[in-house]
Amino acid sequence: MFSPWVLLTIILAYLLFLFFVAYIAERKERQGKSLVSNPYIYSLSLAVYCTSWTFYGSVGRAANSGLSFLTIYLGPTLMAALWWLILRKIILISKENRITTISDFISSRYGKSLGLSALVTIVAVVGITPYLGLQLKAIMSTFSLLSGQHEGSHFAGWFISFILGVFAIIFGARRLDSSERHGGLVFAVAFESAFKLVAFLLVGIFVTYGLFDGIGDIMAKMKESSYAGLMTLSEGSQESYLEWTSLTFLSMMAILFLPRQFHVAVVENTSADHVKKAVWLFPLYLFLINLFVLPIAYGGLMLGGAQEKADFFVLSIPLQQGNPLLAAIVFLGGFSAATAMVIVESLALSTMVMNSLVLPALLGFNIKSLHMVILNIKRLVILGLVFMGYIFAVSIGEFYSLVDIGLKSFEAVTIFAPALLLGLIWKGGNRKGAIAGILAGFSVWIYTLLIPAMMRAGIIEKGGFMESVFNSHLLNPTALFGLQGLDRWTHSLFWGLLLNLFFFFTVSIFTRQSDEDTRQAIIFVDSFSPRHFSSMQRPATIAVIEDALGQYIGPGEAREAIEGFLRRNNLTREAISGEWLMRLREEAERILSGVLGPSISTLVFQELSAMSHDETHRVSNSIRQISRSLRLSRQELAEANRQLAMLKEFSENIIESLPVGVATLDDSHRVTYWNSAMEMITGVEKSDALNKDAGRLLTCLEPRLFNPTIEEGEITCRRNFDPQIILKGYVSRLTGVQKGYVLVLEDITEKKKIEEELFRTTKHASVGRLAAGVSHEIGNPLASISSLVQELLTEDGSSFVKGSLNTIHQHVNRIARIVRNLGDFARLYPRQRVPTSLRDILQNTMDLVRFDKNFKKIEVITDVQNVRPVKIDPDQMQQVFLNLLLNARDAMPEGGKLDISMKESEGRVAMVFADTGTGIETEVKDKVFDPFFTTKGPTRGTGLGLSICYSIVKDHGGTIEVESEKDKGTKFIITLPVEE
Amino acid sequence: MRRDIWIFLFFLGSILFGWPFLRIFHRSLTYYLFITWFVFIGLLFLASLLSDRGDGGN
Repeated sequence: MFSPWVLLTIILAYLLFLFFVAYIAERKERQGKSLVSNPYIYSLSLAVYCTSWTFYGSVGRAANSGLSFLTIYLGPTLMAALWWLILRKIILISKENRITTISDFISSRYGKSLGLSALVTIVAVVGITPYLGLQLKAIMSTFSLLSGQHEGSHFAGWFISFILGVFAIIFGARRLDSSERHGGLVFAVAFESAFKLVAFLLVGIFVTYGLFDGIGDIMAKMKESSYAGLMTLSEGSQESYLEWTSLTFLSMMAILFLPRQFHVAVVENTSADHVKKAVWLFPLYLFLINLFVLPIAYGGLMLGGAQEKADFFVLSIPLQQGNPLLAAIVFLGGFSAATAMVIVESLALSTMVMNSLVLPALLGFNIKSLHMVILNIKRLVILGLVFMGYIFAVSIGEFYSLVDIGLKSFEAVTIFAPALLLGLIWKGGNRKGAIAGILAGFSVWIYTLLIPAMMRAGIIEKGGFMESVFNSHLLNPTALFGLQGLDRWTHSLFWGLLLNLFFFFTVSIFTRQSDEDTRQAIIFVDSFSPRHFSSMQRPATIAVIEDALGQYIGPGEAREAIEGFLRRNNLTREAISGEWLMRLREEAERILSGVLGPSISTLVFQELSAMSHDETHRVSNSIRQISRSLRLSRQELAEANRQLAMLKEFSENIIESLPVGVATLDDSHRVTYWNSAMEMITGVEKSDALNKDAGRLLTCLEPRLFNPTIEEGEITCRRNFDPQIILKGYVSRLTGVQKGYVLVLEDITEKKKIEEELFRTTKHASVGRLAAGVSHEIGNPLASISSLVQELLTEDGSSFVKGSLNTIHQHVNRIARIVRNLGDFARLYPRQRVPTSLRDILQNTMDLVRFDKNFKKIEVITDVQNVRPVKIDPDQMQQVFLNLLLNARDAMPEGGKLDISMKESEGRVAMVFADTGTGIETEVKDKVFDPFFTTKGPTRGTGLGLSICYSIVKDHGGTIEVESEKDKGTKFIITLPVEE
Repeated sequence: MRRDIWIFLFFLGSILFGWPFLRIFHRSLTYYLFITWFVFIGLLFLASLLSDRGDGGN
């Protein structure tokens, strides 16, 4: 046993050492050599989660309820798996927005609502203050246990509470800090975490290996004892699986939403990357600190300890076993667990109370040196919270176990879960929904947990109206609406969460979000940067910003912050642009947000805005309308652009599909467009044509065509490398914005041939009609003359008469032959066409001319293939062949060579008669098929031979063409269709 | 992938520390819980290493 004064001295010595540790850490941080900015200290600081409940209460719970104590540590372990997704996002959002408490975080998400922030603070204070008392109760209880005296424990509790309050003030509220980061405090907390772990492991090893033969020995003895049921959950265990799940879920929420956890995990975090190591380091810490809970609990029971006193087995066993040194270390370990929680929790709660409750009340007063007033009030709030906890501990704390009070706090902070977690992923949640949900959850918490606890403590007297209500079927606090069979934690969690979620969703869906609500929802759900939203409000000058800032954080710090901003951005007070002024305002708002919370800092800077609230609202509306108009304009523009692209494609398709060549030229006659037909017509590729001078591509493009006075000029030319191709087109001047010329070109070679063919056919038809008339009118009298002459020749007459009659007869015969030819030409006697072998007709014709003496000089080479019979008039076709053979003979009076070929191809028979005769002049070549045209002179030819050939072939649906070169020869090509 | 690993681990842990497995191992629940817990911490450690590689240490 230790005397109270010795214990107080040990406590003071330990606290002094803690001050020293914290002081060293702060000094190092000021020197830029931070001891806390690493994931290991960060993870140890998170272990502020392990309070005296863990240190003492876990053993008590294990000795009374078996393994269910583990849920309090398995929950955070599970949640750690999601830290990289959830905690990291919360940290980043908080850093960006200078959020320093969980109430500010929730209110900031829902449009920086002051009301919501106040509600969250009230829930937290009501729910957590008993938890503070629980720590002080633990200190007082262990103080009594160690000193063996109960009388002095209350004084010791009062004194220790005061010391802890002072500690929290010195390291948490020595000055107003915009970041609310306290390196010294964090390092002290981390040190305490390490110390309590070591202390617990020492006592664990002492019990397990000092008093028993290891864990196996304890477990074996437990199995044989009456406490064996504590080693399982079901079949004899006092706790159900449902309670296991509920407690696990509660502890998952607690690790995120307890104000002290939010403070060390989010506010004191120096780098979001530290979360990555904490994900496994913190669960490892929890694992280690729980490693000997069961051995100590079971060992205590085996050693004869009572279950109801199991909370303090950790301390009582070393005392009973005569190991005061270990007992002192364990006492300090428990003291560390409690003090770390009290200091951090009171600091976190005080910031919440200041930001949400005190400062809004102070804002309406015109107070000089406001920052000092704020600082002092904060110090008082810290002391007040600690002493509220003390009062709870000494008044009603004795009615409850450590675990009982702790779980009530867990249930209280779980009320924040829907608003906070859903607020990070669902933009539809709004302020009214969050308030409704939290109010519903808090109401259930009060009704199902707080009121029964107050009744048990005697604060609410039993009997009367209240008791009849509580005992009713529907409103029984432990079986609400008749729901029985659940443990109280599961029961409260079920109804609280159900109503919380119901009201949150329903109210959010059926009520409108404010503009600020919408903006914050986007920031919290979609991104971490609020910058593009807050630039609407512009203060007049730097002095105004500095003055506003100075009121809350002190003139010196305000000046330092402003100068720092100007220095970082290479700005001067005299020459700062409007944009930088707005950024400075944002920076100042963020700094103030750290001190006063985002709700208050927004209010402060709204008052400084050059615009009134209504003006701001109007401007905001105008911007929204402009944004909407711009969005519509962009849509219309995109649609117009799409249609324009379609039109362009359509136009290009048309131009590319045209059978005529189209090209555009710029003012200097360079080609700017050249379609596909142009490529085919001119034989010049598009790539070769573009940007080339058009005159060089088409020689017929004379400079006169580009005379400014000429709007449109016609051109006719032949292709550069193929003169057979005849081109015709127009050059027009472009008259629109784009100056230049458009050239349209057409290949008229075929068209020209058809025109010539038509002309020739028409001419033949005219001449044919004339010939028909002539042969008819002359033929009849000529037959009479011929008959008379022949009759006169039979009469006797002088030789002169006889000679004259013979001459007349010869001339009449000649005339008759001409008339007959004319008749043939005019096709006066339509013949019947029968399938005939052209080869046979050719052979017959050759036989006719074979004996002609001039023909004998000619070498005839025939290449006649087997062709199918052709439906023709054999006599007429023989006349065609005969005419061509005789023409060849006449063209080669001195002999030569005549090639005759015949072959069938693609349903037509082609016959070629090629001689090596005198040939035909180019100028008259087109006239050889004209009637009465002859190159043989008037006495030798009638000029009807080739005309007749032409008419006969055409009449048979065939073609006849001539190719000739002077002095080299002539070639006649006949084609005739083969009819099936 | 990094995001998926964490979500997978969360659900894996929820199953391992939940009802069916607790019932299956109820006879040696103490050992099951502590061994699974330790293995789960090992998986968290591995996931954080994978995470480091995934984002280049950022």
